[in-house]
Amino acid sequence: MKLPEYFKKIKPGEAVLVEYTARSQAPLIFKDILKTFGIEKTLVIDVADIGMTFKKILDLAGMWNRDFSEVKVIKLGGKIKWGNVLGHYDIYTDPRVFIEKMGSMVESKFPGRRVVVALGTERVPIIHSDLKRVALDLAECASTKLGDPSLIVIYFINRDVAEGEFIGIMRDVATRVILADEGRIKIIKSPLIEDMETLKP
Amino acid sequence: MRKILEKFGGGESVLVEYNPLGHPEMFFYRALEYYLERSLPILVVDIMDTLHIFNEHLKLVGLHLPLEKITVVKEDGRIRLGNIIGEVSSKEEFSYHAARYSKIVKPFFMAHKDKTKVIFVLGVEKFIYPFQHDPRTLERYFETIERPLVAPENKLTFLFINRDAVNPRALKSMEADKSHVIEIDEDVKIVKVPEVIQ
Repeated sequence: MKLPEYFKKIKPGEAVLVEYTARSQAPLIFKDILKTFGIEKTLVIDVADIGMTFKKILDLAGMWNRDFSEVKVIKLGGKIKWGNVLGHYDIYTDPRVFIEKMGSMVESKFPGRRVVVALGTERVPIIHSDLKRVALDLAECASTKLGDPSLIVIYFINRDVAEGEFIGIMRDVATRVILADEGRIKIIKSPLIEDMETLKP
Repeated sequence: MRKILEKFGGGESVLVEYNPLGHPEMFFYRALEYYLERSLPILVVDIMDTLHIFNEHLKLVGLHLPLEKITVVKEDGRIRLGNIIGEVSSKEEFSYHAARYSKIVKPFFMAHKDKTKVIFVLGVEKFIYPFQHDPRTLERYFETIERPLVAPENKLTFLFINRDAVNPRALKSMEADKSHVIEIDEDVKIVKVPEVIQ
């Protein structure tokens, strides 16, 4: 099965975790998400410019032939603007505050059915001194969004950087987990066991 | 599954350790079904919306939890499911938390005093997550909150814990206190029983 084919199986209300390693082709997965769900329905949360590095790699690889300025982006920390920035939030404030603010902003500027892609999820707890509490706040937010019929949320986590127990807690919330490491993309959690296989990019 | 559940009775505590890539919600669903068929009262302690997570994962395979038949104590989280009889918070001081929990569940236990009550605690790892690397706080937690669950004669307690989100020392302490330990990976395995195995 090819990756876009698998993405088509994802239903509204689901939470998908993409775990990737530093040497993987994670930006290609991001590109397939934009292509499958459509730029107009997708919102990217770019944490600490990680999204910008994904864009840069796709640019360099010549893998994206559309204009990135159409991509709706929320910046959470970071300095480099790209895409159509709907809002910019301070990552150093209490996560419960920026989660609330981002939620209201998205509801007003981008209502209706949408796919939210969070790039750099693992950086949020790392940046805060109360790492464990912040990790739980994020997991709580992910749990709350689960089952929302207007939403599919896809969390990218760099497993070489993330704290192991945070990956564990996010795996529990996720309805599907996709693992990308060097040269391989594999489904390691799915509602249907028959979907568990290695995918072609 | 039924063969495994037949082994448990009142006064026992079962640690259900699961791999988050697996399907612990299926074990929970089957166990609920089994005890409801036997008309046993069910209490779920729902820590940080774990009941909601299980419910949503089950919906994707066409299964629905009989939420109207379960009594729930809500412990943090936002999604309210089942018949909620009270709320506590993992952020409370442990002794205060234990006292509040006892006060909330007392009427439920009194109403079913002649029956074995089945208690499912879902999301234990999220309760201990913030302090699991602090041995002193962890010990206070075991003493004040968790070990008292082991004692009562007419209660059967299942504690669900996501193995990947908890440190090994905390997990081993939990295993030591329980009469039974189950592991859920691709299949369900009992790895600790109280009987001496010859």
